[in-house]
Amino acid sequence: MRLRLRHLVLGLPLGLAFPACGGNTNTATPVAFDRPEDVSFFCWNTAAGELAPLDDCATPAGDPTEGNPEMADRALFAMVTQTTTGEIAAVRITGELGEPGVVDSDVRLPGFTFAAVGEVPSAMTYDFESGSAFVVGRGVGGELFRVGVPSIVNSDAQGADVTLVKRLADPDPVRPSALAQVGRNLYVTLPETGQILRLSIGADGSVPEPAAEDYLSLSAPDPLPAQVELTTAPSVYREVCGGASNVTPPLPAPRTPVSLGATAEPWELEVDDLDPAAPVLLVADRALPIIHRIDLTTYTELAPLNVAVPTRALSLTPPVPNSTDPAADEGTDRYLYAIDETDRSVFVVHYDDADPEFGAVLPVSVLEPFDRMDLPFGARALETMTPGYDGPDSIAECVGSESGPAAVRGVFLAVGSNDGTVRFVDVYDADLPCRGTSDDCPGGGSATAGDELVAIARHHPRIGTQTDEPVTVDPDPEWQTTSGTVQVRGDGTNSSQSIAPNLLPLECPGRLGSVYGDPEPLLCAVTDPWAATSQTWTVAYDGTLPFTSTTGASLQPGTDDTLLVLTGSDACERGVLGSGQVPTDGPLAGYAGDVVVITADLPPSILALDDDLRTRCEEITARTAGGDITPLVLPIREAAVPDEGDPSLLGNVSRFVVGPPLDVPATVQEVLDCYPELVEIEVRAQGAFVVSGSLVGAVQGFVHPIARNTTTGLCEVDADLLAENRRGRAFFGQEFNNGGLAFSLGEAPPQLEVATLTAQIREVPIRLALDVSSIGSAASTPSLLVSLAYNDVDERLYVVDQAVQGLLRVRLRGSVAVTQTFR
Amino acid sequence: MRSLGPITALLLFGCNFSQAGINPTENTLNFPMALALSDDVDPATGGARYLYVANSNFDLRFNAGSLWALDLDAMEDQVLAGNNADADACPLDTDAPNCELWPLETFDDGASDRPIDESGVTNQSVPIISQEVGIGSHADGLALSVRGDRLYLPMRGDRDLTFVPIDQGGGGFNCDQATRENEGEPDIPRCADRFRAGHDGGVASERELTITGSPTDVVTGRIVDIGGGQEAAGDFVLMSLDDGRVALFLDRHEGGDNSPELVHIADGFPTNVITMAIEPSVGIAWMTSVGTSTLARVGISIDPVNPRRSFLYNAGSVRLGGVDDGEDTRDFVFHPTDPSRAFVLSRRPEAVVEIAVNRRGFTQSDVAVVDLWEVGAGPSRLDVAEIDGTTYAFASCFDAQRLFVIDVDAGALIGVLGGFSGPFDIVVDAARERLYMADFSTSVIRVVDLSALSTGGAPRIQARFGELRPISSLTD
Repeated sequence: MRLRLRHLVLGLPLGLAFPACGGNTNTATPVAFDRPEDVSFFCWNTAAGELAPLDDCATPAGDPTEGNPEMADRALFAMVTQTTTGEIAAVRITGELGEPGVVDSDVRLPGFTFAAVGEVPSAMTYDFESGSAFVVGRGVGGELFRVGVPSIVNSDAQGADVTLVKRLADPDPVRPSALAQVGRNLYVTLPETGQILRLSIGADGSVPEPAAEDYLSLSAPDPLPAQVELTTAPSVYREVCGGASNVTPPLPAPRTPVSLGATAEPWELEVDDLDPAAPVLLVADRALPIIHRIDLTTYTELAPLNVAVPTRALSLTPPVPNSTDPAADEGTDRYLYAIDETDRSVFVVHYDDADPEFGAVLPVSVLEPFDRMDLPFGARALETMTPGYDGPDSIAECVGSESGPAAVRGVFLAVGSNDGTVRFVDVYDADLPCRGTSDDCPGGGSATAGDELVAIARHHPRIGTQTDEPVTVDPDPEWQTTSGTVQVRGDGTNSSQSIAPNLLPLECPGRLGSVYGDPEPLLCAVTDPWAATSQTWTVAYDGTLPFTSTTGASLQPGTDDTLLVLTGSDACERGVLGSGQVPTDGPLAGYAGDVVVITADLPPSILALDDDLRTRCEEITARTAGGDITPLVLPIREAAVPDEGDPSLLGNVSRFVVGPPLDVPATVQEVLDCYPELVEIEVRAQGAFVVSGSLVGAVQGFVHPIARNTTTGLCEVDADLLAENRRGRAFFGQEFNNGGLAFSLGEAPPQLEVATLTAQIREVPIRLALDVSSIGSAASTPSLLVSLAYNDVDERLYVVDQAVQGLLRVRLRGSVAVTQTFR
Repeated sequence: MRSLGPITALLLFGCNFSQAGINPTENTLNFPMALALSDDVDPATGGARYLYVANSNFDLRFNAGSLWALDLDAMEDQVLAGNNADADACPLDTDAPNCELWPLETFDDGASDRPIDESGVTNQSVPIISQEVGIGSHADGLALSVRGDRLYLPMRGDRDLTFVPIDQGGGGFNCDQATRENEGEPDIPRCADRFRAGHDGGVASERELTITGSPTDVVTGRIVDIGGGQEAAGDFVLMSLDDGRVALFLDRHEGGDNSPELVHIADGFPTNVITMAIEPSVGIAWMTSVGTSTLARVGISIDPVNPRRSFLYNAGSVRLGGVDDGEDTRDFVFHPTDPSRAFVLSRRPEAVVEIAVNRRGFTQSDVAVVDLWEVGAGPSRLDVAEIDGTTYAFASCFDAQRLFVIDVDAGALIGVLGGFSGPFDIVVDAARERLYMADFSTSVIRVVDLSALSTGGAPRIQARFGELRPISSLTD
């Protein structure tokens, strides 16, 4: 099976469910939403015309379908805030009251009318006892509104019952960002003042004026509490079988704490109510590198967790078993997921206060950074989902025919990303015992056919498709030479050994596994199912350093027998190394240094001449009768990124000191005379191979050890980077390893031609993902995810897309699929 | 500008292109497209003295567009005084160069307390229009030189770069303006033809360049700031063209009124470039465009010996990757104090996207996305300003008819202001705590009070400058 995509895209189910209709009648429903943001749920008794406990709308366990006859007089509703219009809308999701859809709260008016609750509503909660929704906004005055829920449900509604409860901005300007309800109290974040505000709710929905002690000022501890360091690898919930690689993430080194402000800036709330008698409020702080914990019984702050970075969102799991074997009793653990405010990455904190590892940031990736989930884009929302899971003692046995990579039953994390995709992360897979057809997999003979390789690990992205081959190179690697393509045999030799080098067997280092070679490895790459990347590696002799080509280089006079070549890109960042900075030992010792190659024709101002200068310039560039030129190769003696504003840069960034052309009898002055205008150049290696991947990252792209010397500005080999296997250039007779690819080159062939080895890494497992932009339409529509909400009552994930799709209802069990959209 | 396409088709449907057309009516805003604040500041407030307005004459109602200088002190006086004079108080047939009683509607709560004379006109009105000159139609942008002494306008109608010298006070134009003679109807003073650069026959460049595409935007800066050497005087002007090219002009006027010289045109950039922004202290302009997720970059290399041999070059594009899908960007603004940060106004998705200019994203070609905030439908123009120590981003959304306000420091959308018809170009005067908006659809300038932001309040529309003239009335 060929797997060409890294992420499984689940956009088609809805498209198949709602194929384009025939006929000429335009039955499209006008869009009602205007930038939806937050969502909350309630249950409506259609027979009595009144609110019902939310659990009354519960779907029977194990039945992912709709239409439960016992729910004939119940309808599940959602409320959705509208950012642009400052409203909340009701959405009928299920039930016999009528077709699912957005509810018009005032039928007397044309179009959809919703409950107006003030500018930029940011968070909402629903209180069954009073039949109220409470909404706070980031707009004027940080207002708290109460909305009578029945007033926005009835089909004959004539306007919403909305009450301004309190202006939170009095006297200080605040813009509340989050709202949580625990018992009869509301908790509101006040980022501007670094406080949490507690408001009590009366049985009728009234909210008395808070007292001074209801404003809890969050701490800004100095010094910060110590980070919890792991000394041993934490318990690992992991099942890798059928031939997939099994690599354990290494322990991460503690991070240096980063603060984005001096005082607390509470942004989002998460309630830990595992013990209902002693609930704890967790607070994401966008300024301080700690997660605050508030004991709600005493309304005092507990010791915060030092996670080294500020956070913007949190999601807490229930206790989940530590073992993949349901029969084993290895205890349970809890985890707190968070979005790193500094880069929107996602990390996980051990959250079991009975454990000494409580508060530790856990290793979750085999590649750096080890303490961050391998998600390609920044996260905007997190949500823990528990379909079919009501605690470790209530897990129903799996059914082989219902198990599979796209089925989600147990405990999972959903991550909404900047790119409009929802990604899923394994925490506890209740179907794992039924997965995998191979003998070493738990499913054994009961698993679905084709489900051969299984890779499930806690805190790792969920693999979303059946796979039957491990990560490999496909097609077989080959050398591209000037004489043609030369195939690399399984033993490393090739059919043209006079022009292309052999690959020698090697032992795959570190966390790399063999992807080519029989019987011994010849090419090693990242084979970890979650860290591997579909990309093409090239090993190019005298190759161009990526991103060094420019049409805007300027030649300037140098001292002695040199020229200055000025460019607008950062040469050190690009990995350029001059001969004067080549180290005397290590793998780069003896290297001749990179070269600048002038690849363009002579400039128009020279070609327009009809004199000796033009004649001489054409000699230097060896113009042929066909008009081609021979690129000029200038050896780099020194590559530097001088301090900004250095006048010699003439507005550029980098400066190369180069010598006279190689292989051409010409002086630097002649080169200067021949190129009085901007010139097209690139930087190439000299007598070495440039190893680069098609993607960038920790072990992708051109992974080189060059860094700028902050004192001299010179581009030099950084010993620390070199020690991290950032080799960049490969040489004959050496073993190469850049952390993403390893191989060993034989000696230079006697008639070496310019040769490039190409190896395409394929069969990388595809991850489970939901691309919101491709739902229900052949054309891609832009999406902008803003929130995720798991509803335990119907075991669905709700995704709010502000751009186009609005509110999406996502089925989890069976297979992940969007079943309804409301907009 | 995608949103205006249907309107264009509607408006051009009945045009008779063979006639000379109607001269612009004095003191009449007609589809204002671009705004700029003067360099000259009021010492009392620290705010700009003048607001420059480019009237695009988008519907070709007149045979020319116009450029205005609005006296912001005078406008402020009227706003504060609550002047609400009606249109009749400013007869259109007046010979006065400045309409002293320009209709100005305020929404000030204190309106009823204003001193009103018997004619219903406030006694405290002062001139607002400092000067008006005629220019070509379809000005798509407006840029003020760093020294504040010249305005540059990319003229789509004439495919040229119009430049307008500004007098020392900032409120007057010196483009040899004169009214047309023997036309037999009123006219406004028009800039002389020699203030159009890059036009056919008007190029002195040794490279014999010709502008073939339609200009879409213009940016400018000082030559000395991008490596021209300390001796280099004058400005560089970049003008983007809709055929994927960018034109470089060097304006070495040195106090005179010489024409900017077109010295190079570089190609290979995305077509449908919408706007450009100069990276501070670097001779590189970033470009937004429709139909691609590429943020193209054009670099300027000044030849210090022979500036006429200066070049533009492709400084490498980056992709607005990691969002869905970034293939329609409308504006680009650098952070006012941190040039390593910038903001992109995107229509796919409709959001303000903060990027780290020097960092890369998922791939080497992706720019790092730091954050993104939703805005309304049809985001069109963006401005970023620091007000009372907090950085805000303001996004006009043409289709949503709203202004979105984002607190960049807090990382959140904090306000949505409605009440506009076709919000388009915006400029923020941080010192005055005012935002000025070209309300394109109704041909008025809106004045938005931002002072409440610092106290947790929301911006509000404070005044409307000009007579409301909805598009539907054009056929009347």
